Amino acid sequence: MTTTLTGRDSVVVAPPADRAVGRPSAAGWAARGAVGAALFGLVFLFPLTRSGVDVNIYTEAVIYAIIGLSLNVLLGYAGQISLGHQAFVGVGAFTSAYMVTVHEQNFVAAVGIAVAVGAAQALILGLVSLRVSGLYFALVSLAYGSMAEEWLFNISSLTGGGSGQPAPKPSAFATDHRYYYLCLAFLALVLFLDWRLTSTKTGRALLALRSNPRVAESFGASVKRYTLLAFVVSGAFASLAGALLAHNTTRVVSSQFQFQLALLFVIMTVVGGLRSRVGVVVGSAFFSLASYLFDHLHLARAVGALPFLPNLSPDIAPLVLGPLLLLFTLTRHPGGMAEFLDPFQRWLLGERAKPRRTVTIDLREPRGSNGA
Amino acid sequence: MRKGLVTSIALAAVAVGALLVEGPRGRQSLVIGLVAGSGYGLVALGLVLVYKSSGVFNFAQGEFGTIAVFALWGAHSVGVPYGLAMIAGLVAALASGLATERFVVRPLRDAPRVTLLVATAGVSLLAIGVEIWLGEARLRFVAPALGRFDRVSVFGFRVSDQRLLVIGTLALLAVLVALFFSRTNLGLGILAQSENPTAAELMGISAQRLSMYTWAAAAVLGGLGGILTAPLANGFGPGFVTLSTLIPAFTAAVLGGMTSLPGAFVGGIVVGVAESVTTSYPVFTDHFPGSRSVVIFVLLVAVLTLRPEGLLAPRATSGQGAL
Amino acid sequence: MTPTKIRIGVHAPVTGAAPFPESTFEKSKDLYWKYLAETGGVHGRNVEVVFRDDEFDPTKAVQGCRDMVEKEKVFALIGVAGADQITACARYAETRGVPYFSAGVNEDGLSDLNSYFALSQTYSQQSDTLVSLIKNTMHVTNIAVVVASNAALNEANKNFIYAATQAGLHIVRASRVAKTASDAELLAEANQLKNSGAQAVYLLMAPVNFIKLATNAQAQAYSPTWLGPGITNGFQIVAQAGCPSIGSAKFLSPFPQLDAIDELDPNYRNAYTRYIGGPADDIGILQWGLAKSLHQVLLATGPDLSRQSLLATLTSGQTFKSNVFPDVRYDGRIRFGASRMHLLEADCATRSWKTARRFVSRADF
Repeated sequence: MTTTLTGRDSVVVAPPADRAVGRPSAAGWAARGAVGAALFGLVFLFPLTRSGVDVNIYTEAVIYAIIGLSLNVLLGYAGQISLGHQAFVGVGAFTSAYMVTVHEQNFVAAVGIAVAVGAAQALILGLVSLRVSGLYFALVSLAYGSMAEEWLFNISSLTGGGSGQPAPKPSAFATDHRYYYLCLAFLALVLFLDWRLTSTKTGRALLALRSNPRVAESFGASVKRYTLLAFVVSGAFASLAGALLAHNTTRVVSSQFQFQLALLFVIMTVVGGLRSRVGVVVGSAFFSLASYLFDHLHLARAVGALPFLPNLSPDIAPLVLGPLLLLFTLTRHPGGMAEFLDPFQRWLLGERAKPRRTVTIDLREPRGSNGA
Repeated sequence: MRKGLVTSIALAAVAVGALLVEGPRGRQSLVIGLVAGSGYGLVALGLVLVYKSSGVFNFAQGEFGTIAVFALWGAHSVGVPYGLAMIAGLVAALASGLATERFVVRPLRDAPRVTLLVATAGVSLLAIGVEIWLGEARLRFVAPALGRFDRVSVFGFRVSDQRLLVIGTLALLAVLVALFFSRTNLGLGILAQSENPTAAELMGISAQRLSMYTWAAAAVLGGLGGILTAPLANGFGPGFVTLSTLIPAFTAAVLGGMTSLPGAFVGGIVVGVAESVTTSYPVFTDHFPGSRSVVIFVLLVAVLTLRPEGLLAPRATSGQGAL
Repeated sequence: MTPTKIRIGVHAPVTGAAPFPESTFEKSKDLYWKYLAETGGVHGRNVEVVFRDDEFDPTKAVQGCRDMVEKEKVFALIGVAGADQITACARYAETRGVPYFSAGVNEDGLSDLNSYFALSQTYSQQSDTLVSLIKNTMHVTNIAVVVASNAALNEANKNFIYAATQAGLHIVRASRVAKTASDAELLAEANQLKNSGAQAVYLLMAPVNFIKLATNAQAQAYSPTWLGPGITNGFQIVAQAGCPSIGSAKFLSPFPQLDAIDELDPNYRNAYTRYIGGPADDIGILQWGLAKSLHQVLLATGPDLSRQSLLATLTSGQTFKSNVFPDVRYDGRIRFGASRMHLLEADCATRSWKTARRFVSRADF
């Protein structure tokens, strides 16, 4: 181990030099370029070749990625189990639709208001979570989601009743294709904000909350403040996704937000890989596209070939395979998809061997600050 | 604890008294609450059993019931006599409980409780998915074990034999399971094991076997709950126990105290009465369609913020905390 | 659409909150058109059916309709059941100028559409017939009104209460019941109905909750006459599961039941046996009726078929008779063109619905 003293304020500890990382060769870069181009093509160009109906489905996958990231902030970063997350999404969806239809606001204003309302609602729930410990909060969030579905989203004056509230697309992005790119832009924004959140001191404090609240507290981090922050951010992201979702389907109905959806969100985030942005995005998109993929890859026939099992239609397959994946992930591969996606991402960005793991101990952090 | 218990009892007495005095509608609401709440109590009993033994919130408890009902219906519809079909149902539930324990709970025994909660939720989703796949997403109807409904009438509200069976079973089981935990070696062993696994292991108590017994018992309880209440629902489909009773049952368990078995019984009744009151009086139904879920949410939050250990559990909880 | 083929899109609640065996809607979706192909189709064109399960969910319904219109390029759409899904799809179809047909449900949200046509009476239109039925044949004065709490049914609820009050009937209880009503709620509702002393109960809700309510009521020794408008409450499985609790229930229906179909259209059973096999069911009659009504319109439009000519024919004031569904006539702006329905009565001795009266209206009572 080499120890380098960089000034008096911090110490950098690095593994021995013979395990240092090199740069990829030309062939290596070519391979990375090809894969990168393929990915770019898949996300940005492929949808141009498909009809509006298909692109609509892809947009939903992008929105689900945002939802996954929002749940990741709560569940992955702050360790709060929320089983009513569909309510956060629904609040955003209905608020935006309501603003556009009843108050005739434009798209940007409507989405903005939706985000604010969603964040506020999440904050309230966050305040409840401070008084109620971990597992019990899961029940509270479950009951909250159920209440939202059965009462809140059925107040006709706000939510348009049984056939829902219309939510037309903004005029500048009125086609399915343009709206898809708009949602991709929002996803990029959310990813950026999430990255900023975790790379700052605030973010590190947040991450510390999950594993050891007492230690985090001793570092001067206010557990209360950071928990509430997590709720607010999560609520904001989720209601943004909800607003985008509403305008994607051009109609919001309360029956879209049943409590099974909350479990789906948990599944896609956990299977994707908690605390890994790329894992959560891919996992969420995967689950959103599950029926579509199953249908288009003709997997029903493969399953139908298995003896004495009735036909597995594309709509039902995700209902069985999803939970199976969840259980498999939890019991065998807790890291989820991120276990192979993170190394892949590092490879793509130009690292050839295992990266050097450096640990920086910042000596300036005060210790034992409670009244000491 | 004394003060909290006394206050709760006083409040309950006032509420019950008000309903009794209000008129036939109030009295009948009470009876309806008792009758409907017993269904929740049965599921809550299983939830408390699992929590007491291992600190796990078992989200799959409802599906043990649904699986049992499907098995009951399947057997009965090919001609098996009802009694045997019920046993088939319980066997199916038992099998699912053991499978859950073996493949999901055991590998995660040392994982945080949150992980186990999500895992049991995954089990219930898997069960629902398989039910939809193999059983089709439609309603089926299953006959009650006891068919008469004109024998007993309380405050002018007739209570059918099947419903009496549910109430009776709930009361009996609540007592039996409570006695089990306080009087039998096995029960005490389970409690000891949950509080201090190392010590228990050293005393020769196999954690693995106790875990199996616990989940087997919880599954059978769940199965029994499903079989007895399905005929009353007049139609069951995939996930029916989970969708109709899981949240109220959890509320009932929390109300009574997650470690108190009589609490599950009482909690179920409280939730049932709250529900029936809000649907019997126009002041609620006119302004709050869907008020049932609001009531449950408010009850849950109220109990968890004001008296988190529940109404009937002793204040001190050691060993497995909620985290 | 080609010179030899017309493609029609159909959506129905196969899965979702309805107690129907999964494959039933799909089985009989194109039965009528297959039978028609034997005799050369419509002006030389055969009709092909594309089917989507709307899962009893308006958003899925719109997705399915979009798929059928934009990808499968269907010529017209049919919604089989489910007010919310029908409303959502019809509004979408309007934006694409696609003709949309369904059995009558609500009017709110559909009355301003140009390309929507109800092939049977809406819930509101049926109020008058039901009020007449109650007043003049049942000689009952105290009635109750129990309607599911969906916003789509608000107008039917209001309409019936108004019509009943105008006719001098006394409404002793009017309540709304949530779609997801719990055990306690349905017990309480049954109890309150009993306490109100209503002798007849106008009921508009999903079959599942109807059966539970009726069973709870019977357990309390309360057996009013259940009646109402509807499509799905008239299915045989409701009688099979609901008897004996539903007693002598009466429902209006756009389609006749199995006991009357042979006289009204003997081709149904033949076609069923030939193309599907097994005993004919009543869900097939519903789809047969919808298809046959559409057939009459296509026939009247002639060989020069386009969406415009179809709409022109529809609004020309002609009457279209199928002898299964009621006659329909759309004049100018009118989109709810039926004035008669069938009256089904429960026969719990045989656990089935019987067609007590065919093609009745208010004047028949």
